[in-house]
Amino acid sequence: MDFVTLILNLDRKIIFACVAVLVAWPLIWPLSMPVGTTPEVRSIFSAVDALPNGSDIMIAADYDPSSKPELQPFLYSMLAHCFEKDHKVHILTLWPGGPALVQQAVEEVSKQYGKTNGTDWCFLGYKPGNAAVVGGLTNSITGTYPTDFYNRPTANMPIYQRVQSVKDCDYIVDIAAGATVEVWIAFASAPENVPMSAACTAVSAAGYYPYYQAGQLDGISGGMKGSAEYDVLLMDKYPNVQGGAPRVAGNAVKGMDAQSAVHLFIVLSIILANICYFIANKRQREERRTA
Amino acid sequence: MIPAGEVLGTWIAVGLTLMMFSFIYKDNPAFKFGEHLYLGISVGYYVNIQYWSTIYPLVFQAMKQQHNYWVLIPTILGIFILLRIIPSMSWLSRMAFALYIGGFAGYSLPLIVHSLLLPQLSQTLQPYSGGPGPVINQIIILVAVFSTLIYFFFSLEHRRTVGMISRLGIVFIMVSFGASFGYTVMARISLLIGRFQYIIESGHIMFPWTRS
Repeated sequence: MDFVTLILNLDRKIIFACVAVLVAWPLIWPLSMPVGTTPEVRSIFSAVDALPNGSDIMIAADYDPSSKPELQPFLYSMLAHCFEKDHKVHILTLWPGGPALVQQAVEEVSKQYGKTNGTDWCFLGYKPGNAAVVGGLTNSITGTYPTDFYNRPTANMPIYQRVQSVKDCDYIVDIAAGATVEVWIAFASAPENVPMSAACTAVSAAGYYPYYQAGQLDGISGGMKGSAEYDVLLMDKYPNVQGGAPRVAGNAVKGMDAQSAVHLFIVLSIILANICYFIANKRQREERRTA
Repeated sequence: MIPAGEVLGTWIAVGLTLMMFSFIYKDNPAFKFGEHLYLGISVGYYVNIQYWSTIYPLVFQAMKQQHNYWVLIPTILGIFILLRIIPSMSWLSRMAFALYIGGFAGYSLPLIVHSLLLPQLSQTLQPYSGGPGPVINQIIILVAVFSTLIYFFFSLEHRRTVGMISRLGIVFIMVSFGASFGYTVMARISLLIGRFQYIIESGHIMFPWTRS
């Protein structure tokens, strides 16, 4: 069997094994490849960074564990960025699988920054009904969420003494695994004129570019790459992000070596397989001609 | 000292991950066990979340503590939706669906048009300005939107000029699919990286004596 036939009949398990090695190797022995930043992610960072200290940020963490590797690092970095700037964080989730992930992130990061629940941040929890919930938030946050995730009345919290609804928030960030970005644009950001950015899974990133192009989103962060970019921007601007605690920032950057290695392997495999395909086709044509 | 519960939990999580990965080789009982366990736990978890975040506070608590019996109306309509599974009573679900669809359409249509459709239209047709780069981008967007719409316009036969424009539309659609596919590959690899990261980082929890 020659090389061309071998490649065209390659058992797919060998490709799986190569991918497994290329993912595991850089995670065990990091290659420290540079992570470049794109204008889309820089725009989110600049927008949050340019807000005056103590601004109110509404963060919607609309994802569940199936998108955790792509979006959870972004939530950690965004929370770290907000607390670094002393922003007040109002966080909620429209996905039933989201509360545990948000609770883990917000409790961990707020503890590292010494921020107080109810004064510096509030986790409103999960509520079903996407558009109805977002619409309700434009009328009243405490009316839509009378109690927070920990079952404490929101109306008495210091954080809600000056913020009544989404209209009073200075920025919205939707970290989304599904179509909730459109819901936040249509029912909160556009009608109430509150600027907004989105961090989404890589699968849905291409679909949100029209909103970025139209200026309805300040920026887009797509998948683990976008999260890694935000990590890099955060660590560049604030090198002592609580001593660079690994869980606060840098988790997505660690994965980018493996991502780059596998992408290179896939690109080379596609090129090699196509060359072999055309060589095999040419051979077949020649054989037919001689026969 | 790592709590025994955390060590056991990590062993179970890593074991289940490897069970799911075993499908790459071939379908097997370990994969089936992991798959069914995942489905069962997911359903249980979501039912629990929905009950405690919706039904309990908005129905039972509202009636018991605030004596708000109006919540019975949407509750009954919600039960009507479930009656679809009983053929003789499935007609009742139509009332609930009609109310839900009608109400939601009325509420969301003006906002969707105002917030999504019109800004996208105005951006597509905005005046050319900002130097050669943005102008070229604007022209590409306009041509792409027009040719793609022509491709999906079926009242004219796709021949001659219309055929040429619709073929150009296919090119733009293919470019869009290519970008989405590239992103999809990236997303799937990210999920694999996430699992590998978990397995590698769990090493010192699974084998506590390796902790330095």
